[in-house]
Amino acid sequence: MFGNKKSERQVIIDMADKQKRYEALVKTYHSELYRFACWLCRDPSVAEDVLQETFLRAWRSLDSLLDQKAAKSWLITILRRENARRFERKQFDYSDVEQDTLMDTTTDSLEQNMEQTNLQRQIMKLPDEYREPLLLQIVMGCSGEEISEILELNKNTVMTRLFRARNQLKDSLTQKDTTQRGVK
Amino acid sequence: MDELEFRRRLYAEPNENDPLIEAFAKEDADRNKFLNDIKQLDKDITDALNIPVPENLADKLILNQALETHRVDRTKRRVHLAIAASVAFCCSILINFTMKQAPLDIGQHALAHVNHELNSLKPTDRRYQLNQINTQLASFGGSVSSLPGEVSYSTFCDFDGQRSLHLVFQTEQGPVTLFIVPSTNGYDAQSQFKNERFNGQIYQTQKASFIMLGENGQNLNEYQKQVADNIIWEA
Repeated sequence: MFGNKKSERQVIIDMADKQKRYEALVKTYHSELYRFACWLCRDPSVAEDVLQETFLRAWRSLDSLLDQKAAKSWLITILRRENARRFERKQFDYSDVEQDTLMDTTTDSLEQNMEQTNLQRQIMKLPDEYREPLLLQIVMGCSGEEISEILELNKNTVMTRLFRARNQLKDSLTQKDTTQRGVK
Repeated sequence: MDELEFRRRLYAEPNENDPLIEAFAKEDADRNKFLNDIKQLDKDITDALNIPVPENLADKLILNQALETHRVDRTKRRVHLAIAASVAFCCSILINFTMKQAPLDIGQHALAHVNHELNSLKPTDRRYQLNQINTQLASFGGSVSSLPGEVSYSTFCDFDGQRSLHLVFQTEQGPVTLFIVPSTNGYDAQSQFKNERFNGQIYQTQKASFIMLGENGQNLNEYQKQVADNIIWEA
């Protein structure tokens, strides 16, 4: 009887501990992850759903996270998987709806929800493969090594993509400038 | 360090702040401008990406988790209840099943049956011929070449949910009742039962169960053997 009570107390302590760790994770990473999800999904309300799912999954498998240093990469990996699952689900749900229409609604709602600057529009136009490493680097503050680990890419490839992403952004911005000047 | 590597590295990681790059940039005004431009671009990108986060997002995430934990707990409790219910259900089925199969129960059933139809035992003038019995037995796929006495009563009866042949012989020792229940019922191969008036025994063969009852004091073994030896079943 006594032993039982003790272990019950231990369970409660463990649960409280888990809760604490979870809340710490949420408080530390929710802003960055929210921004990352927004730019990844191109829609703030979808991003919030994905983030909810991500943190629920994180809660369920919190015991598997042993190293706090790995927390950020771990959360990003879960979030990317959740985002990918969204497309599996979507394809299943809307199998008889044309995909073009779907894409259009996404951009529409994005424009409604975000007041976009020119630079934001240009970032949105970047191909996913360039945008994602850039987001990881700037929004999530990941190093080149971390990005290559998360995206499962060679570090040189990551560097090349980061280079191209900024290069494209710079080009498109200067182009815009020249056309505007030309109009004047 | 050459011009190309300088640009590539700055484009890839503008905020690396490598002293080598800083030094290389200072050597040339154009490079220095490029360095500043790219850093400015990165600042702009950072600002552009820095969209506002909903105020109560963290609270929502924590609340959602708390609700999930609550839900899981409830599902678990429901699962436990479901398991308990299934176990109880299985137990009742099992008990019901074994009770039905118990030889004691069959014996009691036979006794109750005979007690209920005591009139069947009364000696009458009615006599059934062997071929009449065989016509009835044929529906179970069997036939009998001789019987231990004259048959005064023969009818199909429901025996514990099964169609059976209910016979009464008039022997020197008095009337003897026999139930022939086709197919294997899993009754005990040979078991006995009795009450204050009758005693009986169950004799199980591969094709049928023979349940024989006589008044206390009658010796049934002989009749039982005779019936079992003289009955032939279709293959």
